[in-house]
Amino acid sequence: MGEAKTFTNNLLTLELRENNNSITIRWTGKSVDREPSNFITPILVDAIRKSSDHDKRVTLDFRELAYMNSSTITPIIKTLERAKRGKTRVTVTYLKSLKWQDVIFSALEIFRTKDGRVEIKGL
Amino acid sequence: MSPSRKKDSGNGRRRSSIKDSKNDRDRKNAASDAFIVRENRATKRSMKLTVKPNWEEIEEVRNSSSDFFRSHGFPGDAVNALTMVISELIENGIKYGNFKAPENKVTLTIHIGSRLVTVEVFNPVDETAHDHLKRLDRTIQWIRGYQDPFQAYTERIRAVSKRPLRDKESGLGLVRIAYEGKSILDFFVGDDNILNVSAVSILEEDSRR
Repeated sequence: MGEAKTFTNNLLTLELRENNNSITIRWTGKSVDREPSNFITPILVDAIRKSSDHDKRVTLDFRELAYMNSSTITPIIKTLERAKRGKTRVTVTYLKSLKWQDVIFSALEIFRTKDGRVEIKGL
Repeated sequence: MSPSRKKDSGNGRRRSSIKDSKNDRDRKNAASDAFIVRENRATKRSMKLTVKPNWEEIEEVRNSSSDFFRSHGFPGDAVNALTMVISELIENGIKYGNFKAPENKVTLTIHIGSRLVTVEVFNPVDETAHDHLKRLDRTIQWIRGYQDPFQAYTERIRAVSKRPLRDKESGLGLVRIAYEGKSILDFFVGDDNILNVSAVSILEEDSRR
């Protein structure tokens, strides 16, 4: 695993690790801001751009996220929609045993692509 | 705000209205009061919180609500779902309320019944909330048009995902309440310009220990 970059805003921390094949963004804490997109979108956009440039899979790992408000869902689904339409490889991982995560993230199956380029994984 | 009413859908559910007639409101209030009194007498399973219209207060509300549900034996999944419902409604109250007067605040009430949990959020509104109230009415009616809130939720996330990145409007809060929170939403505005948004959740067998 490469070196981690940590981005923190209020109660939310995004830890980004990049190696030769992948970029992983680990979400921890709570995303409760009034406009969480201001913090989240630039990080996701940058990761997706790097992923496209260097053919790396981006993994959004939500397993340690304790809570997110509905405004947080917006930048995530916009990222997935753009990945679905483009060539980026994205994996969403969530904790299946945590009901709120299962309910929210399993619904993101609508962005899954048949070729596995965009995948939603409950672990 | 101009008064407006909608006819009953005939499906047994109370329809939202931007402004109810006095008779309707009195009837709703009486029913609501009766429910509260009965619950208070029987179980004392009610909580009321007054919240300053500061975004930072929402985390306090989340924590207090979680503690309240846990103290009544709700398992973690139900606590998470109900706390999300409260959080989304308080966020809307703070976003769209009228807090020009320093005494204006958001009020939260929670009532735990034997089979239902009723969450109500009250906040003052003024004429600037007209568009929000129309959107609220439209969204609630739209959600009710689906037998399964999951379908409404996935349709909404499809639509929102296609909007430009710079567009920060979510529009997912209410449909999330219906889907993840398994709640029936309603609202009315009183003559005192207090908006009351309610979410009623039916308790599942495993929701209480």
